[in-house]
Amino acid sequence: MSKELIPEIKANYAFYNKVLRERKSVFDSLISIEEIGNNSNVLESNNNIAHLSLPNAIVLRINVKVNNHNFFQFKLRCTDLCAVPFFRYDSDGDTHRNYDESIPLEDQQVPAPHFHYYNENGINIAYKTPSLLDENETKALEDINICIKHFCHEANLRLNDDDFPEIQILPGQIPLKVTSDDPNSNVNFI
Amino acid sequence: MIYEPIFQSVIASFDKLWKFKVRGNSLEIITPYVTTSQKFISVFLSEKDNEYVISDGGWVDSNMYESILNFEDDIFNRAFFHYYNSFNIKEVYGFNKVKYYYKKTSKAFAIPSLIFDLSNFIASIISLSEIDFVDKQEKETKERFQRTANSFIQSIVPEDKLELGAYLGKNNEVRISAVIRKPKSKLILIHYITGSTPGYFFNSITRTNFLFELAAKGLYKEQIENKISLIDNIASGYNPEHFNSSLRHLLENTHSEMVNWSERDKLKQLV
Repeated sequence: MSKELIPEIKANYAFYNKVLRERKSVFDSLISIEEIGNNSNVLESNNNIAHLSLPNAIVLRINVKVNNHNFFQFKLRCTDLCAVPFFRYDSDGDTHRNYDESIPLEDQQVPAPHFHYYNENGINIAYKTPSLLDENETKALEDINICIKHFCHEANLRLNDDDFPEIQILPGQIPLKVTSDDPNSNVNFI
Repeated sequence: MIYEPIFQSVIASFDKLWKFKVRGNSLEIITPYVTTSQKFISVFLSEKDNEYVISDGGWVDSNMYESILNFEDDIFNRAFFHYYNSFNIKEVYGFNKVKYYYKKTSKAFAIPSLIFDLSNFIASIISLSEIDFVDKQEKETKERFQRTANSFIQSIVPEDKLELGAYLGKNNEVRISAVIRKPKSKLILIHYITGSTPGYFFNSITRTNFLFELAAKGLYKEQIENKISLIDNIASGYNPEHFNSSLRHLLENTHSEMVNWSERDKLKQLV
């Protein structure tokens, strides 16, 4: 199961639940995404998140693909808990398998967009909310500023009272939305 | 046959794992092939000039499966090329120097066969990359330095002049961390030296020595303008006094230069 099982989460599941379920606050009303991340194909921003009863900050990382701004991820990380993100949303990308022999094989397959959380056994589980099972709502959630609200609801995250942050991708540049969705285009397969 | 209903339900269940997404002029095909990290493999079908291409969409190299292929590791390397050659895979660089693994055909009836092979290949190499052939700390140290050093070199060398993890020669024997193309077909080789313990660090020095020796005798010997070792002098295995003589041997023996990571700006003058 390798990376799919996180022993620290299994060992501290009550703490995990507390971090995930309880109200958290984000301070930046405007999140700008303009830095190149670890991987040169993604833009990245990191913002501190406060949890009422935790001394150390949680970090919200947002990644956006350089050549496809509809391809983004929201990740929550808490180093007191574990090194990997403990909760995340993928707007696109690989299809996850929830490895569980007690459910039908076809139900184990969860294509993106999807959320990821960890169950009580510390195993990474992908799931779709009712909104993500609705074709029209899924289409609307391709907009990063609509989707961040959905993410905040799922992660119990708010800006100040009951508001949500706004995201700007490459704010200093001409507002041209890059949505190169076809990975085979512009590649010369000799 | 009493098992027929079960057999039919197995087929139906497997069938439901095939899904697709339309992506511009390509079709993403989500296959039933899965990695040990629980990721279903996607392949991308497109048609151009009466030829069908099935590619990985650059997903392996752009880390979509969250697995880094550790070509520095000899065991991984040998296993990777076993699958690569067995499935007759091709590769090419696309946008932003992302490597694409692919197969192509002009015959529509061959498409399922190509999807079968490419999916098997991707699932195999991603699962392979999950195995710790070296200890975890060493793997992380190497991956961290490779990532940060690659980003730094990408920031100082134009994209079209740089190849990361480049092979020199035919047999994929000599793999250099970064190769920079200069005017008049000249090349600058940069190899990374790191290690989580003094033992691994020493191995990294001897390996670089060996690779630079091979490169100086190989196909491109006339083109090599300079060889540079980029030393991860913040790695936990680094000890300047301990490695003084072995690093000096590396420089003298291979007529190369070295740059410490903490003084990486010096690379700007050398490249």
